[in-house]
Amino acid sequence: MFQTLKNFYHKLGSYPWFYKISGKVIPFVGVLSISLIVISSIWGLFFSPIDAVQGDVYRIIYFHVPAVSVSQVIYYSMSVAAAVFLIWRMKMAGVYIKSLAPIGAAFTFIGLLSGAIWGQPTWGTWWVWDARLTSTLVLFLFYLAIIGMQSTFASRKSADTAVSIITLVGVVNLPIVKKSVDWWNTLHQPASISISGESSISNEMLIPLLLSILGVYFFVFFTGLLFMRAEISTREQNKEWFKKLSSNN
Amino acid sequence: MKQHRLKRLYGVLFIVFCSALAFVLVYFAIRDNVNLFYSPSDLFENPPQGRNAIRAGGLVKIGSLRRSTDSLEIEFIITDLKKSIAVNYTGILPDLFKENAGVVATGYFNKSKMSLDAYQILAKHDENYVPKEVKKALEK
Amino acid sequence: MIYFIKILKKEFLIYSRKSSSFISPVVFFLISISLYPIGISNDPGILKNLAPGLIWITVLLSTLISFQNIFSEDYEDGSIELLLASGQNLSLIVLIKIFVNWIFSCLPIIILSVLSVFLLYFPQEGLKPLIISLLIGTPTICLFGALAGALSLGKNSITGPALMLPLSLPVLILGTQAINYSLNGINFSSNILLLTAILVFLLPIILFASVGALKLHFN
Repeated sequence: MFQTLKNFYHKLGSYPWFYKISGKVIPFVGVLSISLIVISSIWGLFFSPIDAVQGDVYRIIYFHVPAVSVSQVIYYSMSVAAAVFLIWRMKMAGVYIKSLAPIGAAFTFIGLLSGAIWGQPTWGTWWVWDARLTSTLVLFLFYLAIIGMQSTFASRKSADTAVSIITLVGVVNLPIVKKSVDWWNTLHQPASISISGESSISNEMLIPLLLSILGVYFFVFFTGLLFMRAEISTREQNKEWFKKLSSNN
Repeated sequence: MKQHRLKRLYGVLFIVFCSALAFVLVYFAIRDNVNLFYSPSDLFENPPQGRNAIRAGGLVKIGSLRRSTDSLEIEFIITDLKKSIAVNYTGILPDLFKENAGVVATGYFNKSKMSLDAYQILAKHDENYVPKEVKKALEK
Repeated sequence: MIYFIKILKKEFLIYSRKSSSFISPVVFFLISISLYPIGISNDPGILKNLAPGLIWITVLLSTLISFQNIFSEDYEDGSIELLLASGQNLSLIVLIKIFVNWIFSCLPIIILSVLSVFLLYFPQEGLKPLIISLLIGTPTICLFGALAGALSLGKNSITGPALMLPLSLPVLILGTQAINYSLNGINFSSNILLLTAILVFLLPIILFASVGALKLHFN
């Protein structure tokens, strides 16, 4: 078991292997993610029932929750990659961080934007400096710092090292984002979906929400693979295996 | 794990530990700004110093809302079920403002009258989502 | 472990034998503190208001003199090269160097800053925030100094201070603000917490960065 995992880990670090496998996986993931997003959007926007307190406005939850949820998960995975890069010097981890950071930033931005649009009619304001909103903004700034630092170093290796350190520093912010609504008096409400206990959202509304979350996760998987392939091809364009591959096609 | 990798692992852990500590300290330092609002009990036990605007949050007491007939002036009481304070406000209220619903008022606190002259009212909603029909059926 | 204790002892010995290392910052500090009343005014009302900023700036400048040279002697006699080749944990050695340097060049100044009560008519109730903010703020400045020293190794240029002073600005602002807050009866604990946060946050990053900078010189 351990040996298989170790083999898989070593294969994951190899550019040609990753390039070959990801090319096969991408079409399936793409179709799956886009169909899930379309189905859940239509379900959530037209067929799920009206909320008793907020009316139709609550439907923005089908965009807000998947976006902020995936933006945090992307950051967690990036910090694991950062630790792997710093300890084992696995180049693929650097590729992973560089490719996923723009996607994470985009989804954090969507989360902030949809939250503002939701906050205006319900709370009465676009933005408020409460702990949840501020810590999410800090997350967005960390993404921007990671993207910005990529181009400030002469060598690829030192850029990847510095970016990994910044990524690790920022991971401390994530538990704060998650727990802020419990630790402080915030305007933002606590989480509705609970894995361990009972969710405080009724089932007719919860199922399309879970579908949309799943769809967005697959979408990130899909775009992540695309971005990583693009990054690998720029880094390896002069290598033998890549030239052979592109001359075959 | 090999020796030099173990060393790098300790380095990584050291960075994460130090930045976690730093974040905790920063959040302690700005704790008063991070807590978005005072509850009415906080205002009684530990009234804010100085002339700064504060935020107070709680539930709108049932039957306490008074509207002026000729202007946009509004008066109501917010409570955390232990203590309550009065709030004055002039302006339009957010859609979700209702009696017995959560609200956060920003304004200047009047210690002698235990009231708040608010210039902004925000509605706070909870994390429960229930279909309208189900709620109607439950209330019958 | 024994190796690092030996290094610690060695550093202590070097600094205690080389009396100029801790006497020159002290002399610089005392002279400047006694020049202020002469140069500005000996009116207690004026000096009292300026005192927090004056003390902090003087401490900043006197650490500047000592921290330029944290690695230069080791560089000249070649021991840095030996350390790099030894395969020992360099960041820990750098940490020890910074710590010992702080004890010899900053600690005496911090103790002497009590004298400002007599020389600058500094109010006694401000002493507590002054000492605390200096104790927590100066190590951060020493970290900047070590990084600047590692970057400008063997070159006597203006790069060191030019790099270090702008970085130290937040520390200076928070430190003087803490003293002013406490003199005006406002709670200053949040400033101290922020100073601590800066120190803890920068410690690992600057240690690794200075080791990287040292290695750059021997590539």
